[in-house]
Amino acid sequence: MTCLVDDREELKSLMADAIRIELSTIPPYATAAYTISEAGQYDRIAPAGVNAEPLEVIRQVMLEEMLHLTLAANILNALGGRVVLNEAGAIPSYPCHILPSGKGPIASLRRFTKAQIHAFREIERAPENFDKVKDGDCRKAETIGGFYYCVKKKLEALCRKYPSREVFTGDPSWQIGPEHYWGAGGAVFPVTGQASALRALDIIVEEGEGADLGGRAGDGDLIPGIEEEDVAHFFKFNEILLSRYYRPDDRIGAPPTGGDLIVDWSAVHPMRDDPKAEDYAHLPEVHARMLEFDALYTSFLMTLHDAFNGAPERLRETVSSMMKLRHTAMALVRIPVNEAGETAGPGWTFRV
Amino acid sequence: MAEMDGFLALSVALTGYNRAALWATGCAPAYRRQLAEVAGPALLERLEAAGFSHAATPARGPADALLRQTVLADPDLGPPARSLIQLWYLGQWTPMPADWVRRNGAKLADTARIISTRAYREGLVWDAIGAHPMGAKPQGFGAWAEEPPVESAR
Amino acid sequence: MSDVHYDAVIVGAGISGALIAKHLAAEGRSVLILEAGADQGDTAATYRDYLTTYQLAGAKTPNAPYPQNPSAPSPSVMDVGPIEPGRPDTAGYFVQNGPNPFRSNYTRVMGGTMMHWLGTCLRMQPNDFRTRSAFDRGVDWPISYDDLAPYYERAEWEIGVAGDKADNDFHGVSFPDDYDYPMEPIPKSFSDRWFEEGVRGMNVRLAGGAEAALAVSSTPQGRNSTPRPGRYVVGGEKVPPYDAAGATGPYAFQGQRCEGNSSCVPICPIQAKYNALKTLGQAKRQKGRVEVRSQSVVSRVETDGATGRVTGVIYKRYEFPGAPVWEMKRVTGDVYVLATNAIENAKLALASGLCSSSGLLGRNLMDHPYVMFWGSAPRMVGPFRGPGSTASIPSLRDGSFRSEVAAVRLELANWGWNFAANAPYSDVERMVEGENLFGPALRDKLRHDVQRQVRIGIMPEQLPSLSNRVTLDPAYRDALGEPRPVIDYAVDEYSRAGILQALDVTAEIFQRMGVENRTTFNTADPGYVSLAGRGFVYFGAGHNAGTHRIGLTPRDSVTNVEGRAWDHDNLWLVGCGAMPSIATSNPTLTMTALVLKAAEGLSRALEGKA
Repeated sequence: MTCLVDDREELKSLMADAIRIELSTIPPYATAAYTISEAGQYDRIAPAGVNAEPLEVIRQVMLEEMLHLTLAANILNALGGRVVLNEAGAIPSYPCHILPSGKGPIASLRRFTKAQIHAFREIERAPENFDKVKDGDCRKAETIGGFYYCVKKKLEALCRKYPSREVFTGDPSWQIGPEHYWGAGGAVFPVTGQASALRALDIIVEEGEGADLGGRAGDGDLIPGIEEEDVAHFFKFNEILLSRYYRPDDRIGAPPTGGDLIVDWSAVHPMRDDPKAEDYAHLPEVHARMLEFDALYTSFLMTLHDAFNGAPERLRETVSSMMKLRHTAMALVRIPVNEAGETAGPGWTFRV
Repeated sequence: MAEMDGFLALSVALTGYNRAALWATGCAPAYRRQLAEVAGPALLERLEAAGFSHAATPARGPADALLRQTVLADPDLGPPARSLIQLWYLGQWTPMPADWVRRNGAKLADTARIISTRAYREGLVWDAIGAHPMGAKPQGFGAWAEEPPVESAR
Repeated sequence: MSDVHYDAVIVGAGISGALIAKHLAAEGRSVLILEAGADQGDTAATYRDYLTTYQLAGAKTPNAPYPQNPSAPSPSVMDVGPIEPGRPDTAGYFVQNGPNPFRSNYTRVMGGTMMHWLGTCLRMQPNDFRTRSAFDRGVDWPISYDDLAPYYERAEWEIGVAGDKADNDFHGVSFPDDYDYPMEPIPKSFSDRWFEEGVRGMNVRLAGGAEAALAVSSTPQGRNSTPRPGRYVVGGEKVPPYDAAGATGPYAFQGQRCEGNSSCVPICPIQAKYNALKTLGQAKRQKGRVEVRSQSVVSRVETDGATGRVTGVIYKRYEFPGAPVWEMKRVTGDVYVLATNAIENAKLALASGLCSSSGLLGRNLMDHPYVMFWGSAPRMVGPFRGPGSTASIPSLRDGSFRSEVAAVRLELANWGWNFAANAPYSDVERMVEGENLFGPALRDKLRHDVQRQVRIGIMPEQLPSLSNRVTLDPAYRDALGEPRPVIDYAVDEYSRAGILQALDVTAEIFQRMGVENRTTFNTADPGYVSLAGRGFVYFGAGHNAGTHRIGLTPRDSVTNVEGRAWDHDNLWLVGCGAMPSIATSNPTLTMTALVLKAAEGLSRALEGKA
């Protein structure tokens, strides 16, 4: 038999995993987007935006991952746990497995290529079934959907066994609300009990794989999210790969049939894979810039840590840090580092 | 990459930004092309040679003085060099003065224009003044309420 | 010739037309909007094209991002030249008779001129509605501030104004406890706060022995910040928490907060700034049918000679902007709304022989003759960041001095000398070509100088005047054969005196704060005017107003208070043209409040119709 304390400890530790999962996807998505060299109109006679859409799609996904990260932090805080983002051990370094099982999708820092978008699609793929976690060990999950399915079952079970006020013992003043976070990917809400905790989990999963947690949306169903003009991430990446938008009546399993989404896979900076500042010690100017990026990323995480640890108003400061990260990364991927013209890139390394 | 060395050395001397910063604009090849089309191969070679010798002179004072004498004060090299500075800072080409055109001939590319949307966005002036290009690279909600940047970024 | 009959036919797809369409469509009405301009701008791709055009434009004027379209020409601020007596300036779209040039523009494009507005959403003050009674100047409005207050609230929620009540309850403006702006205020800029500190405790002497204490107030703005979570009473009705309107286009499901792109005029890249495309989008989602036809220039409004009622609208539909080829079309509706700007509304009504009984149509054209005062601060103030203006000094907007000189708003600018001297372009050019700087010295001096640039804008009230007017002359036509507006315009002594008083106050502020005055007024500038030997240059503020004012009787106005034409029972004229005076507020918010009032009148007129 387990007791409340043990069950809650397990959930807290799983939510810490969830935060790491959400965080781990942001740098790869961001890096791919930042390597797109041209976005806009190529041809002023037949104007059509080229690569602007993929850029926008990835940006949107990234912002939603930030939202998911924040919602996961709210759940963990509601359970009375502690978010840790201020030490290297808590921060993914790339390439890495996204899930604690060490199996399933891998996150790496690559330029915008078909292969990388395929990899992103795999990250967001809904599970075929939940066999891997049927014994109740969420850490065995090999898909994000499977992981959250398992977490949700555990949370539901806990809430069935104990009253909400005994489960959610965190300080409500630590919760991030819409007043702290708005205008990027959706609205955040405080987690104060079972209903809001489950809603937060549902949003994280629905915007991702688009699977509902009761089971996978099947072939022939409407594309998840299409009615709100915000299809789930898996399908967004599919749109890029197939150069076409989904239409409101498109079905899962069938290709999208909407308007053109023009992708130029060649208009991309040739960033070297998985950049690390250490690799460029022989190029002092580049090295310094890469360290500057890492310093910005570290300070971003430190601020995020504070915001999730009792200073929610500090979340606002992360907005301008994210802008700086973007501009600094976009500059890095234009700097050639060898005669072949391959370029530097953001290393997303936590350094103190 | 190597063919850009002279142009970058010249540009580093003229702009006060290092090579990585100039590469980071993504505009260096387009700007060299623009300079080449207006200045022509002979003047370009002299300009790039001046860039190399500036880079090879360890003391800044004498290096800058030499650049003034050999490039900026030269009736053929001065105008394109000054337009190149403005190109880097504003993304916009400044046409050659009438006297230069009499000496060197009119060039098709020698018109006042913003080279590309990227050139606009990457103008060094915005970094130099401690801001961001108007309509691009925003600093985030409320950044305008924060302290001004420090006196010099370097 | 006529195809479908609509409940309402609206001319102009700007905020006025879009709001009326939204209002009527919510009641299930069928609405047609005819827009003269090309293109939509309501897809992500076309909007992005605007941004590309802006970035590539050598002169970044307010109309720079938007298509120059000879089939529906727009005036440009670049067109203005000197006017000699008897020789009108015809270089631009306007035919300018003078004696002073009318320096404002507008934009004939989907979404209208507010595509390039700054976003300032100030209410007019109670005394502004009664300047004749209070100061023996201008005219009294047919309604009071209190009458309009509920509509101001609704207008603020339609536009989505970010504002601070406590910072804006001056000169008689007040807000009920159960009301608030829908969004939290846009933060004041660093330089706003520097000025705020600098003028603290400063008293100035004004005309007629009046005195004013200076203070800085944050400006309410139509730009997304963070929505307020509470429930408020708006226009007498309890409403749910505000849901911000996002951008148009496929990724617009969620509103975007201002990111500080610092290009509100002429274009907000992310549409954090309100524009009428948002309301147009909302209008299309109502239960009624809203159809928008672009590239459709209304040429004539037909009336029945006996009843005066409008019987149809003739418009020219052109396929290719710039080609002098078009097809004449006609549509009919139960009611008709002219919802273009003050000048185009007057032009169309004049061309159609409408609203002639009062003799006021086209008269009382107003703007804010905008004067700039700029200098170099003794410290870095962080210019070129954020919205164009986030605060102002409202202290000279009202007071007993108004019986002698015009009121002004002192607008604190955030973009250095950008409007005043084309900074930072001019700084680079001067330092490279004139001061012979290069390398690190150039870089350092740019930061040193530009970081210290400050500017104050003087926004004076302009009184209505019968001789400031729009007329037509058959000799002047555009590419489609439509008449070009002929404009008579002068900046009177009252406004000039108010500007001079403001120049004294701004000079005092600079003196007090140690700002080096760098203002220069070029006597050769077409906007150079003077009073008592002191001259200055004015610009247009884009606040074209007053050509078809509302009133209580057919003698003193073109329409009734709800914008219904006295002479034509089923015709409405809405927009800034409806305003009897403009005082010192940027007119969009007041216009929007009046449009909401007009929409109620239109609803009533259509009542009982199936």
